[in-house]
Amino acid sequence: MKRIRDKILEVFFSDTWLGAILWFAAAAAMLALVVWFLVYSGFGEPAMPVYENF
Amino acid sequence: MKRLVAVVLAIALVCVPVAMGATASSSALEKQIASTPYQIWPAKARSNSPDFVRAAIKQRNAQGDNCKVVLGTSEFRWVYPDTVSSHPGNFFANNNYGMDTFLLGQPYCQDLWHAIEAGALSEDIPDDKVVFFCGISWFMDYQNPAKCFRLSFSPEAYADLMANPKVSDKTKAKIQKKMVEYGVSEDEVYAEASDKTFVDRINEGVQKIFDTSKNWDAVLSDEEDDWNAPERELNKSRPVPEGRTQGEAQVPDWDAWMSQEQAEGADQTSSNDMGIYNSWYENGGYDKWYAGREDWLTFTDEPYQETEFEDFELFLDVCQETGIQPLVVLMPLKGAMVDQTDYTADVRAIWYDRMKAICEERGAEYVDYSPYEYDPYFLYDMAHFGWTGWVQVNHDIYEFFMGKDEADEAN
Amino acid sequence: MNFYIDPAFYVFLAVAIVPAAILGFSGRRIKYYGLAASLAFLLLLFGENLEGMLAFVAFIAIACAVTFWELSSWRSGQKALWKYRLALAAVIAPLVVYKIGAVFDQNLMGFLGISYITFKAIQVIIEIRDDLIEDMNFTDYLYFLVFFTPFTSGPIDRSRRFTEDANRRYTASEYADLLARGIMLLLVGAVYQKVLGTVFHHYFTPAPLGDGPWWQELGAQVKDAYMYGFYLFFDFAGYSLMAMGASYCFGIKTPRNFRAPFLALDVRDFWDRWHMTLSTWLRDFVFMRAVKSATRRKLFKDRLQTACAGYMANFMLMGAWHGLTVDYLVYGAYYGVLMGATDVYQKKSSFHKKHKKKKWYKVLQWFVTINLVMLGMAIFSGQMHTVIGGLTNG
Repeated sequence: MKRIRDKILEVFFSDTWLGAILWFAAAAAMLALVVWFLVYSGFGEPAMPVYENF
Repeated sequence: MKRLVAVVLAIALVCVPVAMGATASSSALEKQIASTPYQIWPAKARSNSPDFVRAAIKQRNAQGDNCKVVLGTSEFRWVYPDTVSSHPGNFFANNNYGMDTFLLGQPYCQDLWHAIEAGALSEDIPDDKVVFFCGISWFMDYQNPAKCFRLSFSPEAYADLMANPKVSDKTKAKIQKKMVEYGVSEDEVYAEASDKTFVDRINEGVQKIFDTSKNWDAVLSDEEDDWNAPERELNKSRPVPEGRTQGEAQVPDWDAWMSQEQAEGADQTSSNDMGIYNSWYENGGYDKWYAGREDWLTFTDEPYQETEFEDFELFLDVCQETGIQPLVVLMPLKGAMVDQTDYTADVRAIWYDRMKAICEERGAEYVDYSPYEYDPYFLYDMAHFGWTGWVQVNHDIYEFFMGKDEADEAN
Repeated sequence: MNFYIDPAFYVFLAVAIVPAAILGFSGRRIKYYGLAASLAFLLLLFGENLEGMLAFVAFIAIACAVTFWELSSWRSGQKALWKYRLALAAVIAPLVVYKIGAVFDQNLMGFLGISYITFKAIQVIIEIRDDLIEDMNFTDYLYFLVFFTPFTSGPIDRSRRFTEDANRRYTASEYADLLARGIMLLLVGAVYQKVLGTVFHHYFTPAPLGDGPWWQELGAQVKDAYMYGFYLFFDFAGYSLMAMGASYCFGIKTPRNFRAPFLALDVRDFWDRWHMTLSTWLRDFVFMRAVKSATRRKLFKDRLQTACAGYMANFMLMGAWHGLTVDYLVYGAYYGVLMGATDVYQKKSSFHKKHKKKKWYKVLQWFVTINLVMLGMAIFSGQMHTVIGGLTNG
């Protein structure tokens, strides 16, 4: 497991096309998740960052 | 560089469908309801959503209904197990008379609600004509127009009204003043003010994209808890009756309908000679009404409230400014019942005369049903259209939208 | 306009990055544009809040005036300590007044981001005194104070590091890498703060102890403590990542604030991983100086005792900075005690020295630490206050 994880991280941070594809996938997934969560799920608005209060 | 390209592509990939979905948000709604059963009298969540109403009218006309907007309130109820076959939900819906009605408005919707609704929907009202059922009870001393407005207020309709350039600033300001008077928070009313900052506009623009995607569930669900079961039937979507839009459109045989409804009315009110529907009368409804009538059908100084007349004038103003031609239907009360209260025929006449005067002053067409106050089957209870009443109303609606037909001219 | 919250912020950020990218790709310095953009963003931040805007402008004026006054004294060789002390006092005063005023529900001299800009201003004044900053350009100083991406909640950068980045000219491929990382950090931060933070916040439902069986009540309290801990982490780490990401797009590699804090094996490790820029700031400008001063004046018996006193002072200050309320002061004291106790334990316990390399011991350490941390969260969030209040009243 750890070896797979290390391998993925190695590719991710390398300057190869495969690495770029992983970046693409990660970015698309995260943006889709945020949009889905904010728009379609029932959780409502995220709160203000806590540390703005200090 | 590869990573940057990858990341930018990823963002574009996700943003494009979101943006497309957003700009097409109202057509997304139209697509969603296109193949669902249609609405005759949308329940509150839907009638308070102008986007839904627009989509629903479009949907009905796409299936050939040629539906026209009728604004009103609780007179759209029908009663069960007694039936009123001439209710527009039956009359136009089950027959091919070349047009149908889209009944818009729920209990508690009085003049101000309708003024805002007309302003919100003005561009989407078929033929730029509406029939407007106006009830004397809205104006009576016991009534609480402020509370009714708060219970029925639609923020979306208000927003659409404020965004309608045809309504004058003066009229908008008057409406805003009334809303605040009726208890809507000033923040909410004046949040629509045009001096929003650039930042606010962007925030709202983005918010609107997200909100419209979220809200359709509440609007589309058929779970509105309303009145009794048949109302839910009427408020719900219903399938198009078989064969309705096929064949030639016919002119309704008004005489045949009238005799049919006379008979039906007599049958449905057999328990009494005031023309009150059986299930209410037989279950003691009338007796209870009679016992309590002096608690509310009474007045101290004035029988009618100025504020509601002001709102009625606002409604007419909005119609005039947006080019909507209204037919004001002055609904009667059942004389046999109401003569037993403070609102005797003379007092009622004050309302009819005042309303007629306002309409004539503003050049609005109206129909005065006060001559039918003592017609037993015109109303099925104190205030709501019944068997022969609906035939008469349907006739006036039909002529208003379809023009006078030759058969009638010949008579 | 609320940074990182209002949709308009992201629209403006995207637009603002375009000229930065053009400058970055073409090998030019981004700093002058960055400064102008920052001022514009701050204008939008304060918006119609005239009071906040004035307090902010006043702070900038004071900070610039006293800092360059001190700098000229150091540059000329005079190195007047009284000028240093006065400068320090002048820059700290608004924050102190604000925090004290907050106790009485008054907003005195406060503005959004006052703490973080104060930390930065203090750092500059102290480093001038320590001869670490020998010269400083006004534009660089102003840019360091007002750079908009970490303005509202940190991370707390350091001026020399910041200025070095600000004055760099990147090659196209270097900038492309920065921009890609920046965008990615923004996305990760958004997932953390907006998705995960919101979810955990949803499950944080603190309540006084109820009538159920003790193990159930305890379980509920523990669950709420953990939920708050994860909520605060994802909220704050998410925000910090977004601030980092946005600053990378402007060519500034703002340092990270978090490094897997819930993997900490002891409380000292935790503070090396949680709100890192604050704990290093406190370490460098409070703890180290307090310990050095106490050691010089031989206030304590030995180094360990000095360290313990230092930790207490350090963390009490941290607690007080959050707010002059019972909850935050107890929070500070709690960690002050734990930090000292950890030091003492690790230096004196033979059990610890015998087993500290073993895996099972590390798991035990981790388990104890995370529970201590979550207990700290319960104090911080006010959950403990609710429970104790319920016990004393009910």
